[in-house]
Amino acid sequence: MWKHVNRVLSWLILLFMLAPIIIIFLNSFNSSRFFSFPPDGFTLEWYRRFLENNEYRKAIGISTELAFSAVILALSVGIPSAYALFKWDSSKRSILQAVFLSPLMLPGIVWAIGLIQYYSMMGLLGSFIGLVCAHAIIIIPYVIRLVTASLCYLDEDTEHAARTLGATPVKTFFSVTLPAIKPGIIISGIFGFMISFTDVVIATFIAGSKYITYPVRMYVELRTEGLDPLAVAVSAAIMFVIIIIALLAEKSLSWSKYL
Amino acid sequence: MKTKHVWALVMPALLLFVLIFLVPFLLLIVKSFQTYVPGTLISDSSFTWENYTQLFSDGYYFKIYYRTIRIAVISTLAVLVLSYPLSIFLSSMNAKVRGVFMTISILPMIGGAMIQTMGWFAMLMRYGTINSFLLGLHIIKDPIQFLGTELGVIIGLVQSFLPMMIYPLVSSLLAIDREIYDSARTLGARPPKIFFSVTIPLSAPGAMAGAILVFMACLTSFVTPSSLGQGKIQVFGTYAYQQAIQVMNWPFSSSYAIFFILSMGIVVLALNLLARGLRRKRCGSM
Amino acid sequence: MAATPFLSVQHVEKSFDNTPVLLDMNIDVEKGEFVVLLGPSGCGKTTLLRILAGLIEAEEGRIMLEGNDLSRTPTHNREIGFVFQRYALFPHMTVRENISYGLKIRKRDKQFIREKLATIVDLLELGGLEERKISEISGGQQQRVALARALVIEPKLLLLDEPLSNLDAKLRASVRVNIVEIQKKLGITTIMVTHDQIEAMTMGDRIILMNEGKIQQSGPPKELYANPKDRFVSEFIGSPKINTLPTTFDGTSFYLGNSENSITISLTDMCNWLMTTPPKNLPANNYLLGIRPESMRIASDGMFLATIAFLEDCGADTHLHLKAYRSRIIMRINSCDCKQAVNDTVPFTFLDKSLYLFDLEGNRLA
Repeated sequence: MWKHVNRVLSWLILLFMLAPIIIIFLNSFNSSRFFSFPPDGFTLEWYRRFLENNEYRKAIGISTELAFSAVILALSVGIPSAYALFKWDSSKRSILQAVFLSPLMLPGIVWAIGLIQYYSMMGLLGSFIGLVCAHAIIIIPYVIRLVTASLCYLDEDTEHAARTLGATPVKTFFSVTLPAIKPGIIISGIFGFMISFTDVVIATFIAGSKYITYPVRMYVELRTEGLDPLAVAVSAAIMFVIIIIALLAEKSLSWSKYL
Repeated sequence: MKTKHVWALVMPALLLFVLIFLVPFLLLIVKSFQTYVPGTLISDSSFTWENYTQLFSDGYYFKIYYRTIRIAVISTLAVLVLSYPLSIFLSSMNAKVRGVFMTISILPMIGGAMIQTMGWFAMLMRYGTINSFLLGLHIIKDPIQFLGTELGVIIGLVQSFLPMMIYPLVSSLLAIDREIYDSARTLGARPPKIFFSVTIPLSAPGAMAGAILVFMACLTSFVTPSSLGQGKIQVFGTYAYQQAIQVMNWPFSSSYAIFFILSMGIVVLALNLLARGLRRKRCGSM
Repeated sequence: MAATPFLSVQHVEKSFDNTPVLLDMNIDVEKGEFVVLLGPSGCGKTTLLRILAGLIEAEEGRIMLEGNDLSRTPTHNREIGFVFQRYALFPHMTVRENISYGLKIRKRDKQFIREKLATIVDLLELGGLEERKISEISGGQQQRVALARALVIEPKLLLLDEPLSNLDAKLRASVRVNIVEIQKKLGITTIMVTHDQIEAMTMGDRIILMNEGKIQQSGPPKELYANPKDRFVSEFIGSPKINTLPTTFDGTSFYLGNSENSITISLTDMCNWLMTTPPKNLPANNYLLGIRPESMRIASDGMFLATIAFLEDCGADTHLHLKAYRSRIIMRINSCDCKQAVNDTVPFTFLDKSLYLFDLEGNRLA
């Protein structure tokens, strides 16, 4: 009996968690210009307008470029660090690991207030490179955590075996270690991409006016003009892609175990 | 691995951290002691305590402070209550199905704050989904005001940050040996008794870890209170944004942020110690 | 020393966090020899094996292989085959890719690799499994793949780290024989680490018994069994474990048991039973008598009496758990000869020249 009660409760809670997403999906097909429930009728008008809208296309382009660059930067500095720290037999290891994980604990908004002043001093405010570096900082903790987690699954003796079979340390890393930590790399890449792609806080603080990402654009619009059906359609389309990617990541890599 | 190799591999990331993460925090401290010159971005670099004394001289900041904490505490408690049934349900599934459901449960986080906010906006509007529904069923006569109220903000925060609690909670529930439940059952405990005497104590560390994460996230949240509060619910994040981006009073926003992070740091540190105490007690008794 | 030994471990020392693990290790190994490093866990045997492979650096001493100092040679240039305890197969590769890994690293041509692979697959009876993933083959097959992968590069030295510990008991006995057969066929110098004395006894040409970072005794299996240097060796080798009975010597006779229940053994009788003559003028003191379970027999004219506490029927043999002289002794007898039941009192005696005498520190006196 208790089991059934709990099951019903759980489904209700899940519904609550997913309610905004469901509503966005439903309303993206709503023919009414204004928000209404139940929907007035079915239309693909908003999606058509989205495809014609240069502003949003440009914003999504910027977001994609930014997220992609930030992930590449985070992975290229994060993987060597995670690997080196994992193999390092020193008490300093945990200190450095704590440093790299600190963006998870320290509030982003406080950092952003410092960053805006720092960037304006350095002339980086509103620059693409400034955005990329800032987003890389919030992705690196995930890279470190997930790559370290997949290193834990790796049997160190497989690396030793490669060495006894004649592989140099570098060859061993690429032929044995890298394939083993591939899931961690891919998952942190996907997760990092989503974080950067959907970030509002850091981007609103330091973006300036040249590189406006799509979530910032939506935030500004929602605050000034209220809900726009076009923005709803854009959100629904993006959410759809995110859901597909997440489910694929789960199916092929069971990523939820790592997160 | 040799130390010099470690440093060589860690250096790029460390450099990035020092330049982009550490220096801004240091700058924040320096700036907080400088004076704002209205209309400019360059502040007077002579040393002053004024930004801090201003914080204590005006009750307005304490109101924000108090409201922020109140909202964070209520939201965290709500998240805690809601996450238990769902986490228990998730942890009882077989691994494959659970994976899919865990992925679905993290959507509020990976979908981004903006999409969630927009969805809530649609539901909580004056004639939005919820009000239309309630009006249609004649449960209420006049629409309930959600937007621009604390209730609306709390609803948004709870939904956005539930995944942060569910993940650590599910993993600590999964770590409990199934046979412990069986043995409690053979000893005559009924499900509610098992929940309070086995499930809660054994999952407390995970719940505590999740609660700290959620609490922190609520304290420093910006998008949700700003959008769903419609400027009427001033909390730490929204006020910081106002001061730093709209007023551009950077010295004051710096001292404001530092004061906030320090006082919050103490609270979170205390919570962390409490969480560690919980863990130690458990290990000690085993 | 006449000729240079094939492999020579000289004065090797190692410690972890200031805890010494190996103390002045000196071992010579002949070409083609199968040497077993035996000892309880934590005795340093695996550390020594990993030092030989270059996976761990020794603090002192050197490793000489065919007269060349290996100490500065990195692992990948050492030409050794290593079979790991959990096999350490590459999970993302097939059986074929695992086995040919070392040859590909050496950039051998495809034809050569194919021929080598065919030979080794044949030798280890892995035919038909080449394209399988590692997760798709059984534990025994994984073990053979690990062996094939190590052997295919034709190493000068084969190192085996507890290669049988992850196999179930039934498989272990047959794999034991297989490994020795292959080793003899290839004539490859092999060093195996194990904590299992039965593996050591049945497989090794020579056993090096280690304890707390030192070599306790080294020699052919038979010698370690029959002529242990001390109590530790006698207890480690042989199953069931040797019985050690406290005994008191007053200058003329030995006493077993305590004042309420004791028996006196004359020095002459004792000398007859002891393997070697005890030192002259043995001082009066407490000693330990080492009695192997197979050094006792039930005899109607035996001077010792014991009560049977438990009968352990192991098929061909039966282990009698005896209570005698305030001690518990295990006696091994042929099951056919076992007519006794629990609580029976049986007279027994020792076989001639079969007992050991240790002082209280465990040093063997006779």
